[in-house]
Amino acid sequence: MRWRPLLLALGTVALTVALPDLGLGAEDTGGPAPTPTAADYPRIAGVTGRPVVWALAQMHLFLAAFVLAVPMFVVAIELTGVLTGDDRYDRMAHEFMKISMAAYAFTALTGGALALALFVFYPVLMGYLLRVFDGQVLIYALLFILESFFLYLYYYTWNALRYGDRKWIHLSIGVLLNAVGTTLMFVANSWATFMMAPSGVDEVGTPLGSVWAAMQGPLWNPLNLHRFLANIAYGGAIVGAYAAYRFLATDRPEERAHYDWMGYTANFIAILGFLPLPFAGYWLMAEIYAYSQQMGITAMGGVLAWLFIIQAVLIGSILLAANYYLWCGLMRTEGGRRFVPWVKYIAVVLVAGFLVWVTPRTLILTPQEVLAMGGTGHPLLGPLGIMPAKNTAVNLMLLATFLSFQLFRRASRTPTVPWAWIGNCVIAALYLVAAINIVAAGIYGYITPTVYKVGASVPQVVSTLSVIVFVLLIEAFMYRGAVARPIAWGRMSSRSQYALFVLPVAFTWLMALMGYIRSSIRTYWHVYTIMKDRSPDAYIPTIGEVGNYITVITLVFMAVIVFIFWLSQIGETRQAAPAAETGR
Amino acid sequence: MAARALVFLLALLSWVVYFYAVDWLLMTAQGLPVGWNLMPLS
Repeated sequence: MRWRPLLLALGTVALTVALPDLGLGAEDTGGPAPTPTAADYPRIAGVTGRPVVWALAQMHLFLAAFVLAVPMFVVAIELTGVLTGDDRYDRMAHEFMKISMAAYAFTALTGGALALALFVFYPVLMGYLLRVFDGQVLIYALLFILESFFLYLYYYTWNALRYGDRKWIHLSIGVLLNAVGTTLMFVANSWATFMMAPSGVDEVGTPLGSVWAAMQGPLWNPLNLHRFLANIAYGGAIVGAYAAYRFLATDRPEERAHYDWMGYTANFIAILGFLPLPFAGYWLMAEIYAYSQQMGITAMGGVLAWLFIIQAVLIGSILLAANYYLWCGLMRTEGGRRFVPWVKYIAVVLVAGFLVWVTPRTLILTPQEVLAMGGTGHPLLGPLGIMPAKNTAVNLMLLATFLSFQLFRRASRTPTVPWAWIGNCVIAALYLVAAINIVAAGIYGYITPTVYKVGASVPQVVSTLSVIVFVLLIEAFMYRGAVARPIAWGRMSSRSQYALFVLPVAFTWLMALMGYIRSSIRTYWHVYTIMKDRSPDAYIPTIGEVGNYITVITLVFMAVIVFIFWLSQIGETRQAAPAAETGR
Repeated sequence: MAARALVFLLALLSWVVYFYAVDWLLMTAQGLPVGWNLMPLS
């Protein structure tokens, strides 16, 4: 009986997912891609299209990533609440949704403004894209309506469908909401990947008559996976900041305990989404190289390469902040204290990995500096600038982060199975051999031709993944029937909460930076190799200009987020009724 | 203590075999013959 609504939901999901396949057979192909002239790009009040569209697209993406991600983990948390019978999960899931609701209106607002700006500033390009994607635009509109419908239904029926079979109906609405949301994102992704690696058109851009073929470009699925994971990490980071904001804003112990737990869960979600992200990014980059080596070189080796150093700084900050938060969390339990001496070793690995990662291959130098150093690369540190060193550093940093996370989990539980010591030996040996394998493959990368160097990075990645999978597997059995130790939620320093603020700021900045790289590797093409960008903006701006621009966008977005947090908080505030008037 | 050391050593050996197999499989799957394949010295 209770499975009936779930089956209904699954059926609807299947229909929703299949929906883009229906009615996607475009008939009117309408000839090759147009060739716009400079006159086709309007300048309004002295402003050209790029800065406007750039800012609006980025704002829309930040908000959309957030509002699409939250319902995903909210459904998971809600389900956990049902399965464990612990009401706290339900309350937390509901509160997460509340933040996302406040952001939804902003998402629609920036989306509408972006569409308007695109049609005003790039009418010829938009006309062509509409021709290629034909009826899909209507499906997108329908999906957007469905997304709004399910989102409001999910949020407002929360308390009405609270227990028993009704709860399963509510969960099913949540699943539908996520199916629609994910499809919506996949559809929008296909526009971006079509512009980077067009498919479904001939070499001059004439649509071949199938929208589905235009969607299925070589970069579509890598981007889908990358954005899907990144959204989860990003959503977790933002609600973590919300929890930190509320934690710091209250003195009541029960509220501090609640928001500390919420912050912990959010950080957990962020790390969960973040750990596999480099691998999805690696796949995307590999597909870009496979599609066009020139495009790959533009991104990683050419004018944009320096931005990857900034990326390293930002990802390093994220890893340091997430680890720092976990280390602070060790103090919540009595069992955590015994792990504190380990922290310094993990910190050494993280900081060393971070320093290797940010070491550039070449430097911008004065002639005197070149002379003093004997070349453009540093004699000792220069070799750390190439990929084998970076891959080794990143994989070791991810291992260290996973170890922090594992210690944190162990702090609150004691295993009772008699073979626990064997499990520990096996896990310790696993970490050791995996680390040696990662370092050895890195060193091998230095002494072998390029093709082997690139090839050797795959075993490195699989080593890290092996540790994650095997440790989770062994611990799942080892901690069966484990004794739970009490966790003193709320016993956290204020400093640890600032680490939770670092995460969304660094994530936002990172997304702005990497989004810019993804978009600008098309260089002077609207649609790569098919439709040239003839606007005055068809150039790659200087790194400084890009830095300033994405920083301003990040700051504006953070201001919007703080406003959303404030809205969520003020929504709970009740003004005290005026005291009854006493006799005059 | 001795049992612990023995188990650790056995685990260590097993993981070495596992990772060697992983390396071998992944390199072979990429069409890269396993070996030292060192860069020619010039």
